[in-house]
Parts: sequence; structure tokens; C-alpha cells
Amino acid sequence: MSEEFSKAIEIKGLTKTYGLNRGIEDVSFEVEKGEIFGFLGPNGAGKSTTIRCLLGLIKPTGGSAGILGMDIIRDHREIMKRIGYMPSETQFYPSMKVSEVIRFAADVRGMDCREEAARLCERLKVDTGKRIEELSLGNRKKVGIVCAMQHKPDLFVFDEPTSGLDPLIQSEFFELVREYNAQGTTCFLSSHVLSEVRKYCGRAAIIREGRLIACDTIDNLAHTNAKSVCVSGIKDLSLEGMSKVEHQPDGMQFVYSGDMNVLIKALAGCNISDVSIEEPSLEDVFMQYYD
Amino acid sequence: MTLYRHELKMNRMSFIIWLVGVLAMSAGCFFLFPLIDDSMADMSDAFASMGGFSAAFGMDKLSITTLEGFFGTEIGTIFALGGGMYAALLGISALSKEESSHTAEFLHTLTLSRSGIVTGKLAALVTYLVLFDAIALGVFVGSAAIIGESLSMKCLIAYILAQFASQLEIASVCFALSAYSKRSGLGMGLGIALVLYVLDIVARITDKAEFLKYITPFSFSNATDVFVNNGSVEAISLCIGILVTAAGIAAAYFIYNRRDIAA
Repeated sequence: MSEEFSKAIEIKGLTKTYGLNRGIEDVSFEVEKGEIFGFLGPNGAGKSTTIRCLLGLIKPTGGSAGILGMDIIRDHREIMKRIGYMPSETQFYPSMKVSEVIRFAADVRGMDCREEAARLCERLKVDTGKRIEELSLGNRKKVGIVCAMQHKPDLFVFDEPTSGLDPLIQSEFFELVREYNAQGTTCFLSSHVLSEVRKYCGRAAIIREGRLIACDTIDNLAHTNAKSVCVSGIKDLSLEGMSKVEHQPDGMQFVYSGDMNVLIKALAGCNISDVSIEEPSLEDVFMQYYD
Repeated sequence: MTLYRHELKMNRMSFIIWLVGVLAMSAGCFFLFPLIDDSMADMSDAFASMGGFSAAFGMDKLSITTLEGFFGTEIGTIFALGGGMYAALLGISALSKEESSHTAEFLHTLTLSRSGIVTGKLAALVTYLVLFDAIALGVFVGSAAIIGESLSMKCLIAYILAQFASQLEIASVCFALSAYSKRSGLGMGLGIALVLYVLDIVARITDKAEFLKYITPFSFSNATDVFVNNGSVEAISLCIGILVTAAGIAAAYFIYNRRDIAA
């Protein structure tokens, strides 16, 4: 194992097919060391499948992947020592106390993480005296965060980390991610919530129906020559390059990706009362990828 | 080692319940014996001459009016069935319960290898079977002493060892199924134990089905046979049992190392 790696995650043509279920097909992207990377896609797109391949829970049927310069299959245990993972549906042994679960995770790793665990529990307001079976999903996720962070790993892998967390804990969670990130921990998080990815991630990949459809900086992903157009006074405009047309009581709204001159000339001949042409919202851009 | 201790803790409650349940029934029968042995004396011949029924429970070989006969036909049967079912449940739930209760992702993303998980769980399983049988041996000896009787120590120890081998065989077959399955399969585990028990009875009732004794571990661990044969156990059935046990364990490692883990 060398420390001479620059990629925290390096995925090449990763494919997983199972039976009739669609898995993922030919997924390739890289996560640089030290970045906070978002992995976006609608439910069922293959986010969890990709992550579960990386973690060795399922075996890919094609392609390869490396984490921290090591091979996901050959070096599974070494990789696990340096990863903190939180699954989307966090579940622990129901009869155990929170403190026992946190301790168990540290003991299996052969580490004494009591100090860091206590700090995290304090920050996230985790009640360590309760039994797992008494906890709500949100509170279980908080235990999951502690288990993923207490050993100060080199790479976080979070699968939809914020679902089920209240807004205060969400922001505390991202604050913690930022703090660890400042100390060098790379963070890979999947989400279908665009706003959190935009807020916290520098780069993101978008997956849809098992295929990677984009991987770039958030700025570049959001940048497109499509414009969001809103006109008042006319309702029957039809041009090449118009999409997402919505009719309103006194006008229409659409996304336009055609030649701007054509749009302006067409509008010039109409009796319009108002017009706005602006950058589409990031949501609109992502919806284009999703649809 | 951490996983082994964790497994022991997770299975402690069910161990105590099965131990107390099975041994309370067994000990209860010991204490019944002084009450019935006089009244049974007249019936002994009748019990011994009921053809297939007698053969099924070994009453044609041992007299039910002696403690050895009573142990072989009654107590030994209860313990074999209880121990077999407990072994089946331990085995069938060992690996699959992580997925059926959705704790697999947590366990597998710590620093354990698949083989390490199998080993930890197997070690805990064997530990509980050893404890189960060792405590049973103590309870049998103690109960016999309380009612002022005694059993041949040699035969009793041979019986307990045969029981251990039998339980281990059932557990390892179920363990292999557990490595394959994503569901807990408790019903299947109990079913396997009961079917194997019935196969033994069938093998005893009719000569045509005698080959079944090579399939079910209840044949070589049968209490009556062990006591009648003064502590010796049917070698071929036992050897087959040991081979099946080894195959079950090997299959568990093989399957679990290659299988996708469900979310």
C-alpha cells in the first residue's frame, strides 16, 4: 500500500447486474483526495449499488475500483480500516445500548475511540444510555454518524446521510464533515437532495438508471446554455429548443436551449407585456438530467 | 475475538431459555421415575411387545422399569429432540440474522473479513453447544443422585458426546443454509431437526428404511442404543455425521465468502 495516491476513489467501468434487476452499468468516475464529492440521482438510480460495490458488500460483475490507492476486492479489510461508512437505512442490534454499539464498532476496529466518540455524542446530542430499539430513525442515524466518524477515517462514505435528520442535526452533521475535511478527510456522499450537494460539495456525479450521466464541478454542472424564459401577454409561442413549457393565466414559462436570435425575433413580432430571460435554477438543470 | 464475545452476548438469552426448558423437562422425568417404576413393572412386558412402537422408542431393548431403560427411552428422547432443535436454531440464524435484521451493513463495514465473521459465529455456536451438553451431563448425574439411583457414567458420557456430535451435525448443516439465506429461516431449522428425528423413528420401525440411519444423526446418538451397547456408538453413522459436519462448515465458508450481502 502506498500513500502516493491522489485519488480517494477511482472507479473504472464498474458494472453490477443481478438477475432481472437493473444494477449499474459501466460507471466510471474519480474522487480526488480531500474533496467533498456528491453523488446524485433519483431513488433506485444505482447510488447504493455503487457504494455497496465499493465497500465489498456486493461483488461487481465487471470493471474495477480502487479506494485510497487500494483494490476494493483484494484489499477489502485494509480499506475498511480507513473508511467511515454510514448506510442510508442505519440499523444496529436492537437489544444493545447506544454506548455498547459505539464501543463495539471501535473494539472490532481494535481502536480506543472513547474520546472522539464522547465529543461526537456531545455535538450530535446522542443519548448513549438508551437501547437501540428505543430510538427513532433520526436518532439511529446519529449513532451511525458517531460510528462512522469516531475512528477518524481517511474517507467518509455516506449514503443519504441527512434523510431522517432534523435540520439542526443536519447542519451540525455538515459542520462536522467540514471540520474533518479541513483535517484531510475526503467525503463521498450520496443524496437526492440537490440543495445540500450544492451547498457542501465541490464536485458531483449524477447517476440515472444505472448509468453515470455527468461528473463535474457543481458550477459546471449548473452552467448550461439553456435559459429559463418567462413571457407575459402571449400563450402560443412554439419554437425549436423549447422544453418544460408551462402555461400560465397571462403568459407562459419554458426552458429554452435553441438559438437566442430566433427567440428574440419571435418575441419581437408579438405583443408581449413582460419578459424575463435568466439562468435556469440548479433544480431545473438537474431535472434535465433526471428526466 | 470481539465478534465472538458479541455473539455469545447476543445468543445468551435464547441459550438460557432452551437450557432451562429442555433440562427442566429432563429433570422432571427423573423425578417422575420413582413414582412410576412400581406401577410400570407390570406393564413392562406390554411396553416391550408393541412391535414397531416399542422399536421406535427402544423399549424392546431396554426395560422401562430400570432407570437406564427409562433414561434411554424417555429422557434421552426428550433431550435429543430439545438439543437437536436448539442446535438447528443456533445454526440457521447465525449468519442470516444479520441480513434479516438489517445489521449486516454495519457488521460488514467494520474491519472484519467474511471468513472472520463465519469463524466468530461458528466459535460462539460451538461454545453454546458444549455448555449445553456439559450442563446437561451435570443435571443428569445430579438428578439421578437425588432420586437415589445412578446411571453408568461411561454410558452417560458416551451418550452426551454422541449428542454433541449429533447437534453439531444438525447445526453445521443449518449453518451452511444460514450462509446462503438472507432470511432467518427459523421454521426451516426446526423443520430440519424434526424431519431428521422422524427419519430415525422410521428407520427403527421398518427394516426396509434402515438405510435412513446413515442420514439422520439421531441414529448414532440414540440413548437406548448407547446404553444397550455399553457406551459404544454406531461407527459408520458417526463417521458419516462427522463428514457431513465438516462439509457443512466448509460450505458455509465457501458460500459466505462469495455471496452478495443484502442491504
